[in-house]
Amino acid sequence: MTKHKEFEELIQKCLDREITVDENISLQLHLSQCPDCSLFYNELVSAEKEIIDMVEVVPNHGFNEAVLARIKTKKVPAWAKIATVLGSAWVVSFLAFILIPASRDLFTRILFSSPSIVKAVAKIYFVGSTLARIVTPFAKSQLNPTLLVVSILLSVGMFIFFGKLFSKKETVWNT
Amino acid sequence: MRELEHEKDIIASAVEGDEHAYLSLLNSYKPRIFSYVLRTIRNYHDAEEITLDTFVRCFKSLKSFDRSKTFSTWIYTIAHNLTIDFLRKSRKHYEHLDDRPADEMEIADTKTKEPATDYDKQVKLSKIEQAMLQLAPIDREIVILFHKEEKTYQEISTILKIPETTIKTRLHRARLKLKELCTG
Repeated sequence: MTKHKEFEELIQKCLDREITVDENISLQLHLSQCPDCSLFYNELVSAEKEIIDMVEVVPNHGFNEAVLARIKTKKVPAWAKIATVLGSAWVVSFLAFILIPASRDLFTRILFSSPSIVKAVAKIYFVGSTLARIVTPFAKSQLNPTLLVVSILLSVGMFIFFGKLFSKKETVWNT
Repeated sequence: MRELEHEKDIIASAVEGDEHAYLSLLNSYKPRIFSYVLRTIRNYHDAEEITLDTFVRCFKSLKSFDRSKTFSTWIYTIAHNLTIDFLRKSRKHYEHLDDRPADEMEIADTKTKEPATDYDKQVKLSKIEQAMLQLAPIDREIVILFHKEEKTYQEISTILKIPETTIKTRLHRARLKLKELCTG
């Protein structure tokens, strides 16, 4: 501590990089005349210099590689997860609808047991059945080997497609 | 100013997935962040883990980084938050805003807990390093951020989430203590 509180505060202000030009002139003038304040100032400046000169430490060799490996990890986007769930549900219901004749009757009964949605379902059914007739001329036929093979191939294709989505990486390196 | 512009270009490249840009940021900030964390928690392995997590978190959320702000302040904020989380989880004491003296603090002493091989990796503790150990962790952070990293009070306030006036008071007190320890 110095005897001159006012200049001690100015010294702190100087180290805070907040001293004005006029204050600095006043401080330097005082320091040239007061050994106590001069010693106080020099010791603080010396401590500051030692802090600045402190050695920077580096982590282990291989640190960069560890960071890059962590950010390269596969991450499945949210939309891919949703698409997979919906796709799988579609495949299962498609197979059930095609392969189990009773499911079609059950499906129709459940739908038509609620009169409020009959109209909406009828519209969807009309669009769906029209599309089905165009896309699959054999949609109304009973189970046959061709239909079975097409269904299996379609299902395998869907699983491969969604499997590809899972393997998509979040980060692509442009090296 | 030119350096900051260059850094912004590097960040933009990193967002695009350029590995060289990531390495450039790593090489630029790795020693500073690691030293900062190490001087706060005083344990080489834990400091390394926190530094790694800092960069991983930083790079993974780089897209959301507001480029009108300073990258350096942002990454120091992440490092500080992870350090605090670590100390909280490991139930180590971290003096934040109270006025308990530093000698009441439990500071992990790597000399007694780490194997000899880790000594080689640690920096030789100089007089100022020993004096820094006598400071509370929060004061050490303030001193390093202000004097070594040349952060402004405003930036330190953002990183540590402490009012600027508190930072100034603590820094003044820490300076006097360091001076006494170094000269005494």
